[in-house]
Amino acid sequence: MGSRGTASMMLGLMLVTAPAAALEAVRAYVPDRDATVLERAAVSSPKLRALRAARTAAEAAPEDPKAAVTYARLAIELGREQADPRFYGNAEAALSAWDAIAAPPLDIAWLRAVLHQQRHAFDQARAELDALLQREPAYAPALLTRAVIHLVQGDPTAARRDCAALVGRTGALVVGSCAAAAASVSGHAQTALDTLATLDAQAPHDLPIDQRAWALSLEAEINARMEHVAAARAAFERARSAVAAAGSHDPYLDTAEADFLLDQHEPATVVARLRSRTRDNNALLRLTEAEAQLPDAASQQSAATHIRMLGERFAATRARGEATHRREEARYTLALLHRPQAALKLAAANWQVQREPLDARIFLECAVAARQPAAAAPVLTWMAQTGIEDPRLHRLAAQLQGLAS
Amino acid sequence: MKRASRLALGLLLALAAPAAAAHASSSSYLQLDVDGAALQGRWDIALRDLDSAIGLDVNDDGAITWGEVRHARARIDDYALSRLQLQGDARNCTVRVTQLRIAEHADGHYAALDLEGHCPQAVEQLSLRYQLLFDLDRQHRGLLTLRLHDALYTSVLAPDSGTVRFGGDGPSVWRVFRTYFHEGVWHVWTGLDHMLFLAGLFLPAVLWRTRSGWQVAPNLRGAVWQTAGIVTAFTLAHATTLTLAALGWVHWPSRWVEAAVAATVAFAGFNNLVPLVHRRLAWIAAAFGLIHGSAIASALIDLGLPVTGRVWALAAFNFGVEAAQLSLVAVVIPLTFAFRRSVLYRRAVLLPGSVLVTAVGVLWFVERAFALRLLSF
Repeated sequence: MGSRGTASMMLGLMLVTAPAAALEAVRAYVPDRDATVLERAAVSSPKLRALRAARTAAEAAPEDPKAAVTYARLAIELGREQADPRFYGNAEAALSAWDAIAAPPLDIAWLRAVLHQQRHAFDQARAELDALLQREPAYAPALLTRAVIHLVQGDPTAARRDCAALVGRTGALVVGSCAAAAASVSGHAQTALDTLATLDAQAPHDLPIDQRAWALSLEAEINARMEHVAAARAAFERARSAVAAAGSHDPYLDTAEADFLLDQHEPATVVARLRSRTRDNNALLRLTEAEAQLPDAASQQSAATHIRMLGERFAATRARGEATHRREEARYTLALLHRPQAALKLAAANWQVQREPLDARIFLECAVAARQPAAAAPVLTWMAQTGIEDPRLHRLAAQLQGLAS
Repeated sequence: MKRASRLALGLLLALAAPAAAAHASSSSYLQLDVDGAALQGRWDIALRDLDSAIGLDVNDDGAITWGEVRHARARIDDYALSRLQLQGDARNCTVRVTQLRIAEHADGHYAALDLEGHCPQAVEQLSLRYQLLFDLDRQHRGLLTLRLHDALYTSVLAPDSGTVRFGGDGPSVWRVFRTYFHEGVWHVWTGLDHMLFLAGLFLPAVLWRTRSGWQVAPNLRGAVWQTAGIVTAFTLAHATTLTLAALGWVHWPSRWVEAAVAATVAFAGFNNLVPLVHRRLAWIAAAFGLIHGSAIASALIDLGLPVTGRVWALAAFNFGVEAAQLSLVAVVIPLTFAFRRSVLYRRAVLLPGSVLVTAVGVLWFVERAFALRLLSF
């Protein structure tokens, strides 16, 4: 049912949210030359071809869970590599034949949970995984996925339980990375780093790149959080070259490194790294922040263009009724639009869903900028509960207490 | 190996959550303005989405050029329009694409389709069924803006909410009923084969031939009741097959169904000339009703069943058919009853009428069964 009357008027008044505004503002034109390139595939053709072949196979055998799983997994891998939700949508379509089935084949239930997770429907994802693990308690991928969801939701204790259940069910590097990720946000950052160093020394070098990349990027991120600048820089460097050497992409690693470089006041490096990555909102946000920090006119002009572009994209996401972008939007609103009150609202709403160190940080930064120390009380409680060591969070918390007194 | 790769993906997922909002998801922007019975609008669909749905990058070089888009114009139009169904007051509106342009949105280039269409009558209530891309991408959304009666509606169209209704006052149940009842009545009053078949049945209601000669109906009440029983049996059977076919549960080849309808018309006329059946005419009518019902289904589907409440609409249609038939019974039977004893009725109405009905039925049958063209109607 369409929204009527006041609801649609409100939408209209909210200016940026109404798709009407989005469409009317976009001029349509007829390009002058046939050769004008309008769109370039972000993915190399062999991978797209593989995906197309898997889709054809799945469409030819709509009842066959194997074909559907193969297609869905390829799509999710591409979605992850390209940070592109269209591929997740493909995966969802691949699995839609099992939508109404409560206990589908394990692989399908697990992938379904992964897709819920991707849409930030964490409760649904957890329910799916709980049911799956009830059926098959030793299903390692589900344990790992659930551990990650607990981490995203700021519950390292529950994450640790799932990591422990993985022992003996998968390789040491995975179990160790899982445990280190949980330990690093619950007051044991140094233990986590030691674990990762030991595992790194022992791990065979022919492990799949994503397993090694996880360990390497965790090491870099924990070091960055602990402000071990030299170690973090070296770890990012190693992670990046390992991923590149394997011919792979890791957008998550790239944005984590960009955040580190921004904290180190090295915007020029960020611009150089992310200049061509404007299709990815997360990368574009970091790029724009970096450009805004550079004094030259060209950078300032580019920043202005990118600020507008980001605004349009957030509006487009909101028009879809989605709220998966609030952390980034809070950051955008605070750092680029300089509207701390609005940013604080977004950060607070985001905290209801996601509770990683980055979510805590933006929430506290907004509360400080908006001079509302009381607003961020939930973060302070969480910090006390988990015992997270992050020095920056503690500095921000101290600043807030200064504001309160 | 399988285990390892499965776990490898598990790791990918571990890192996937924070990057969830990295790109824009697939959206199309659909803007419609309804003015009376006329529709205008624009529909922006991402070139990336069109490429994955119908393949725009013909030379497969990873780049989509304007030339490739331009040459795919017909395929783009067909694809898009096949995924959008519009109805004004439960009747299909036609939509076409008048121009293909390009629009640059924040997340890439889109094909901008200018739309133009019209509905059978000034639109009170607009229903819209949107199915673009859902079979490929369950995260696709259609972002709709609709202007109707000076009101602005917006809606997010998703796989489980792709059908929406706007405008009109109160529940539309009554409107749907009225529209389809009306269609049912007109189906009888303007449907030549339906009328001829009924004529074949009505003509002998007051005067019929037996082996021992002509016999007249003893009283009006009996004649009316008998005829009403026949048409009602016909309607009930008609309703059954019509519903089955219109809901897509069964499908009969239309050429043979149409030919069978013609055969029933011929039979109805011939039966008056050379009596084959009289007593069990209601059963014959029912059997023929089954055939007529399957024939009308395709016409009704073209007319467009409302996207919600199809069964209700079918019921209304059948009520309309029955009402029209009964109204004919109420007018025709008393009239013919009055003249039943006159020679004129037999010579000038019953016999020529039945001959005509039979002849048209036979010609239709030949036309339809052998795909010829003999009659101009």
